[in-house]
Order: sequence, then structure tokens, then C-alpha cells
Amino acid sequence: MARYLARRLLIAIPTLLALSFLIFLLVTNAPGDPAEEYARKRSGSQEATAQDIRNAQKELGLDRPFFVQYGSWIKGLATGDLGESFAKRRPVYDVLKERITATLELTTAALLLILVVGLPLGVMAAMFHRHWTDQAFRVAALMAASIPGFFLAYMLIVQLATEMKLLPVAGRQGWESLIMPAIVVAITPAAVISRLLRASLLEVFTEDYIRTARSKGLGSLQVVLRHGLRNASIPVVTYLGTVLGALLEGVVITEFIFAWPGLGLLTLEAISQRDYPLIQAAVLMAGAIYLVGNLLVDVLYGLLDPRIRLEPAAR
Amino acid sequence: MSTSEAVLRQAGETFVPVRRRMFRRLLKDRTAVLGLVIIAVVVVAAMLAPWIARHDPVQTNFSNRFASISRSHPLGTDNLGRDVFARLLHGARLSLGMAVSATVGITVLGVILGLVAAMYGRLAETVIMRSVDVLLALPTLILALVVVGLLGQGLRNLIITIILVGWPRYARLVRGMALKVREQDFVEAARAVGASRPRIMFRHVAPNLLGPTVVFSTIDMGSTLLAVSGLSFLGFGVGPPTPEWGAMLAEARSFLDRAPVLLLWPGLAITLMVLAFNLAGDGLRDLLDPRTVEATPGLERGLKIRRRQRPATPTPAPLAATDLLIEDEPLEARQGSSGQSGGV
Repeated sequence: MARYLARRLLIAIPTLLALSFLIFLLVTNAPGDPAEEYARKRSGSQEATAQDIRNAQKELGLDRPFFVQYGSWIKGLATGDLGESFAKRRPVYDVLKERITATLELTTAALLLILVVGLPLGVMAAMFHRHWTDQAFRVAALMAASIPGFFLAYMLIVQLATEMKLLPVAGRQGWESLIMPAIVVAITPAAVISRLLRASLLEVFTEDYIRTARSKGLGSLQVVLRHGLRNASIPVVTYLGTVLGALLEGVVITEFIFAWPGLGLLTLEAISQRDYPLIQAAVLMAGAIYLVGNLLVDVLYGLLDPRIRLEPAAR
Repeated sequence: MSTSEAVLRQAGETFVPVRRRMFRRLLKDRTAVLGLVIIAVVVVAAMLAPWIARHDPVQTNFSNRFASISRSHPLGTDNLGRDVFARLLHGARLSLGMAVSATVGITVLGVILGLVAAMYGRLAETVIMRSVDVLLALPTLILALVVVGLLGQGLRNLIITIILVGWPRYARLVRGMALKVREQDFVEAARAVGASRPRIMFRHVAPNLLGPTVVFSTIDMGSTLLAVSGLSFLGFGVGPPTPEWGAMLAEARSFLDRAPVLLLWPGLAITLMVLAFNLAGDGLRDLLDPRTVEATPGLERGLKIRRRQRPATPTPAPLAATDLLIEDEPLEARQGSSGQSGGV
């Protein structure tokens, strides 16, 4: 297992490096000059002179050739230095550290919601198979999977914040402000996970060991929880990798709508301000989280089902 | 994006061509038909928008702002006094048009690159498949955000972005299928009579995997629409005053307190279309899934409402998927493709 993990992590490094190169290429060739913006901001006037822009380019290191810029960025990365944000004039590392808690808070809450709501609903739908409740769950899940997060967010804001004044409209003060963003991020994955678990449980229910457990006289719920769930959980676990992607994506739009000061909002800001070092770092971090998360999913997969071997069989 | 991911992965393993018979089966699936009907109605309405809507979608009228529902304005007017119904209908042209053209672009690029990777191997394969790995190392929407954010706002840039970040999954899928088709006897035969590689690629291999690929791009259409309208909502799509659903939502945001109903219409329109694509997509997915056969108990797929009768006694999944497969395929391959994949 350790060897498998080490190998997968080693493969991830060139992938991330290639990704960083791609982003660097994109960023430096994109229209819009961060030096001009920087010079304008510094002089406080609308127009920046050519001399100002040249000075700013020099200061930000943008006058160097592409490969020199990329090389120095990689060199910094190797020593743990992510460079300095153009717009904020602060180390990128500090900026990220400041924002990561908010995003972790949001994603943890959303993940909890996905599991706490999605899994029981899946079990219930499977147990109520061919009952009207199952149909109701099905329609609800279909709606939940189709509604865009950015639409749901405003429906929640209008209902819960503007009309009923139960929750704050936006911002991050106290746990109440976490509720709506977490729902928006969690809804689609929760719906899909409940459907997956239901389908998987129904498949497991036809197995012999379930009949055996039933004939031993165990109650339905006990059979489901002790014999069905673990065997049915494999497709659900495979889906967790996709959930992680959905969380990373959902966080961006959700943080934007709710003015949640996390990494998603930071990425949007960085893109609109052409803050190259910040874009680079944010994207690379998202990539690293995604790759490591998917690796963990594969490991979990192997732990749940001993029939799956992660390492190639010894010759 | 999420549900189709699993489908795409599975398609790499189970290679099944589409048949006319499947179309007839699709028509028996009531929820799928509902989805198709919704899509058809909206598409026709969008095409006839100038004749159906009585107002110009960009014509402002400051004396009639935030008007409520009336005969002349079926859905009222917006913050600039423009007719919401007209904007919604004209918006469908752009929103759906963008989703469709992006999907076509993704499919074409994915098929070509996937085929080249499978048929040419060596350097071409390495370059293409490593690029796929790199592009898939980020969640699609995040990559799209960076690309479109840097390319700048605009209709064309938005579509280019969606294509650039969307093709890798298709290339992976097509390569997987093409590798299987490549080993078939008829390909061998074509090679033996001296057909060139491009000819084999496009005349012999491509037709065999086009069906599933088209079906998958249809299934994917809902998530592409979500991506397009999401990016457009964030301000990367068309600029005002052009009507587009995502942009309409973004504009309505500022009038949340005054007229929340302005958010409702474009939001409902997107939801309805995504729902319709999901319904239709689920039906199509069932057709392609060899395990979804009448006699298989407890195998209801995804979100689909199934009304077929369940047999009284559960029978093991039979090999009835054969009618979905090519006749000259060896039996082992059939058995292999109807089972689920094991390893990682």
C-alpha cells in the first residue's frame, strides 16, 4: 500500500508541474497587462505613463523572458515561496492562509450535509422501494440535480433572508451565515449520492447473504445497516472523487454569491485583477487537492473491497 | 457533469453501437419522451421567438419599469422596462445555441483526438493522453474559469473555453472504444486490402463509435448548459443588453429586493432545460447500458422513473444484452462487456 501511494504521488508531481506550466503560459499570454493596472493603482490616476508601466514591469519581474519568469517561479515553489501577490503586495502564502479557513469551513459543512442527508435518504428510498415515498424521493432528487446552484442560492436568499429574515443575506458571521452556502454546495451531490446508494442497495438486496441474514430473523433495518450498507457503499465511494470536484467547483460560484471570503472568491478576484502569482498558486492548490483527494478515494475503495488490489500482483 | 462522468467511464469498457430498434425502445420510455418533448418545444419556441414574442427583447421603456404580468407583457417587464417574455425566448436562442455549439465542438475535437491517439499510437498517443491527464487534473469548471477569465468576456471566448476544457473526457472515451474496434476482424481486413490509416480511422472505426459518442454528448448537454450559464452568470458571457439566461440572472441580482421575480424566470428556464436534458439523457443511457434489460431486477438506473413490471422471482442478470451488440463479436467479449469492471 505504501509503495502504491508513493508511486501515485510521484506521478502526480509531473502532472501538476505540467498544469502549472499550462496556466503560466495562459496567464502570461492573456490580454490585459497587470503592470499597467499596478502602475495606475500606484500613481492613483486613471492613466499610467509608459515610463510608469515600464517601472512597474521591472518591479513585478514581468520584463524578463517567459522561461526566466517560469524558472524563477518554479525555483520559488521548490523552496516553499509562492511569490508575492501583485494586487495585494503581500506574500501569496499569507493571503492563501488567511482565506483557506473559510473555504474549509464551507466544504466541511457541505460534505457533512451531503453524507448526513444523502445517505439516509438513499437507504430510505431503497427500503421503501415500490412505495410512493420512493417515487417522491426520486422526483425530489431529480429536481435537486437539475437546479443550478446560482439560482437556488437566490431563491434561498429571497425566502430565508429577505422575506423571513431568518438568516443573514451574505458574509461570514457566525454559524447562521454558513447554512445557505452549505446547502447550495451540497444539494446536487447529496441528490446523486442518495440515488447511487439506493440503486446499489437494491442490487445488493438480491444477494444470497441478505436472504440468509433475513432468514436468521434479523429485522429489515438491521439487515440493511449491517449487511447491505458496506457492500453497497462501493459505487458511492467511487463517486466521492466526483463529489470533491463538485465541492471545488461549487465553492467558487457560491462564495461569489454569498460574499464568503474563501479561496473561490479569492480566485475570482485574482483572475479579474490579473494577479498572476495568486492565480498560479490558487489553481495549483486546487489541482493538488483534487489529485490527492482522488488518490484517497482509490485507497478507501481498496479498503472497503478487499477484492480490489491496488498494487500489481507479485510475479 | 457528475452523473455523466460515471457513464463515460463505463462506456470506455462497454462498447455498444446504437440501433434503430433502440429508438423505438426510447419512445416507450415516458419520462425520456417528456424530456425530449420539453426540449423540442423550447427549441421551436426559440426559433420562432421573433414571431411569438410581441416585443423587442432589447427595447427599453423607462415609463414601464418592473411592470407586473399583463396581457401585453406575459411575464412583466424588467428594470429597464424590457419585456421579460421576449428576453426569455430570445435568450433561449443564445443559451441553447451556445450549449449546442460547445457540445458539438467538444465532440468533434474529442473524437478526432481520441481516434488519432488510438490509431497512431506512439508520440501522438503520448502527447494527447498526457494532455488529457493534465487537463483532467483540475475540476472542469475551475479550469474553464481561469481560461475564460484570461481570454476575456465574450460569446466566442466562452464557447472556445468550454470546448478546450471539455474535450479530454471525450478523447479518453473515444480512445477506449477505438482500441477495441481496432482489434476487430473487419479492421484487419481493411488493412489487408491496403486501406490507408486515415481511411481505416474514418471509414471503418469512427462509424462504430459515433453512436455512443453522440448519445453521451446528449447526456452531457445538461451540464454543458449549466457550465455555459454559470460562466455567463459570473460575467464571462455576452455583455448587456443581449438577452441570455445566465446574464439575465446576473442582471436581476441587483434588483433582488425590488423584484425577486426577475430572478425566477431565467432561473426556472435553466432548471427546466437541464431537467429535460437529464430526463432524456437517462433514457438514452438506459438504452446503452447492456445491464438494463427487462428481466434484470433491482437495477433501476439513476434518476429514471421506471414503470416496467418487475418479475416475481429475481433471476440472475441474463445475457440478453446481445441484441445491443454487434453480431460478429465473439461470445467471450459479450460476456465481458455485460459484467462490471473490477480493478482500479
